[in-house]
Amino acid sequence: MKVLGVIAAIAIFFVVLVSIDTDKSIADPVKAIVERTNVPNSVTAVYLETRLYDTVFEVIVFSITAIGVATLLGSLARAPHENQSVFHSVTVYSGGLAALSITLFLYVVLNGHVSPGGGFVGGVVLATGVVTYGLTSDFKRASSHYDRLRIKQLESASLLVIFALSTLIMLFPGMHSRLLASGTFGSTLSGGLIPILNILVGIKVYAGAWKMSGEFISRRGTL
Amino acid sequence: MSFVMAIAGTLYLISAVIVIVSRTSFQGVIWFGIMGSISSLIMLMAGAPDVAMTQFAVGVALVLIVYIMALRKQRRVRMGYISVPSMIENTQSGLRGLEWEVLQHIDEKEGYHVEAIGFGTKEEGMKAVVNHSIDLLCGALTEDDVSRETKGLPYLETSIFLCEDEKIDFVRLKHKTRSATSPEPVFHKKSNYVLVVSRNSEDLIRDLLEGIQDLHESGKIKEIVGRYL
Amino acid sequence: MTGSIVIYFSIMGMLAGTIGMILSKNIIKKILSLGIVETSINMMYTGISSRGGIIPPIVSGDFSLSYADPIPQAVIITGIVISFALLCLSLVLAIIIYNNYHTMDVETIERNFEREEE
Repeated sequence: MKVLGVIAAIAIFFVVLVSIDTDKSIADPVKAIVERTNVPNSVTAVYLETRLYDTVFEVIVFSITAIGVATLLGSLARAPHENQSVFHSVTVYSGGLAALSITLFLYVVLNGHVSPGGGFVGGVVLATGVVTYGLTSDFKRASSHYDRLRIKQLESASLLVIFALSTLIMLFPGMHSRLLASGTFGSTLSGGLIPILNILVGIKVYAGAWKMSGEFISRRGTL
Repeated sequence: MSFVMAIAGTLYLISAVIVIVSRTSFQGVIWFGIMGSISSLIMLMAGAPDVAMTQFAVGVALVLIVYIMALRKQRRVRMGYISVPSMIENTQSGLRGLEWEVLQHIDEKEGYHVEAIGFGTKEEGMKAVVNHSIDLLCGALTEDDVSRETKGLPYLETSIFLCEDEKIDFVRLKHKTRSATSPEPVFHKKSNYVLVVSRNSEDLIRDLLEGIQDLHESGKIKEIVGRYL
Repeated sequence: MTGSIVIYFSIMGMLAGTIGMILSKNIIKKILSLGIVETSINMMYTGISSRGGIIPPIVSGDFSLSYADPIPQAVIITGIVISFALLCLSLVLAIIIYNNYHTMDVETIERNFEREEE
């Protein structure tokens, strides 16, 4: 039975290999997109203005998966955290690295439409930094920021604002193109509603990734 | 430029094959991280810096942390016991008894962490083993108590006596004759004391059998029996 | 030329990942092979986007260079984050199966399922 599966897989992939197409998506895409949105980074302009539907539904899928993981892991028992063994030289560096990753998050997200970056990259980078700090140094302190900064409410608020702004952009495209045209090309303050959407997507991705990884660490124990 | 890309692509394919044929899961996860880094490098050379940053941060850093958290086998065994004096019982200074000592030796060797739950009767305990609410049941059980879905691991030889039409094993008989006078017991057959586990848990069965064999070979079991009986 | 090389290598990577998923006997290896397939798909999309050129599509005034195509890149960035979320969910299910059956072997688990249905 397994041999049949392997033969079928090889046959399908040969068919795919010989039927590859060699055309571009639209004629001269970079010029068309940059002239329409007046923003230097055309990748951010694509997923936040031309194909806004994809981003909205990705945010929905991510939220539902985070809820699912948190619910399923909630049925296991918590692991004891009193004896987290730490090399003392690591404690010196890890606090500094966590602070550096917060700065990097702000820079990458706020300059997402001028240089490579954007909301998704920033959220994942910040989640990596904070999770590494929690694993190697104090996990209690890293997980207490979730309640102190009220990230749960912030995440729900950002989801609602993303929905509201996207509906606004889709219903009134004329207003959005007027907002986009009124900034200077290449400065941080240009781009209409695009930086605001970047920040909200970054917060949402960070909150989801932190909830999933944090639940894993708290149920299975630190290193 | 295409030459460099061809070399990087070959390295990527080699890493992918090493992930599939690796012997332990841990090695596979490490090579998965290396494969993700090479793929991020290819994406950078093909003119997509945003995608390369995202692939590196997600596919190498976060995925590695989550896999290692999932692969650590949590060494926790839920043990249920039925109180039998001098086999296993709950006193003020914790659990004491012959079976408890045997289990402590095995658990120290394997690094398990044992949680003890007490049961009233044998039927409750057997039902809990079948339902997967506990992993291990002990408390002077013999080979007659093992049913179809459970497995008994013998660790000590004993004999079963018939006394007033009731089958009693050696330890319970000793306590009964100590507390009250009763008619002479009749020898019935030889049997073994067992630890009852569910038939599905193969890792646990393997570890327990190794530990019991180790105890028999080093002679420690005679010492423990002499201390309690 | 570089675009076609990347596409061919990524299709071979997908083949390797699919065969690994069919032939492996451990649940964790199966999930790892699914990760190989998803990484190869991401690489294929950037290979498609590099057929117009390999300069990153971030413009600073000059429109006449041969930039890469930004549309497939934007589509696959959201895909990478979703694949991480899906990986977390499958690992949670693998942990729950291990807690119940104490084994990671697929055939043993299937035999136990059939025995429980009787």
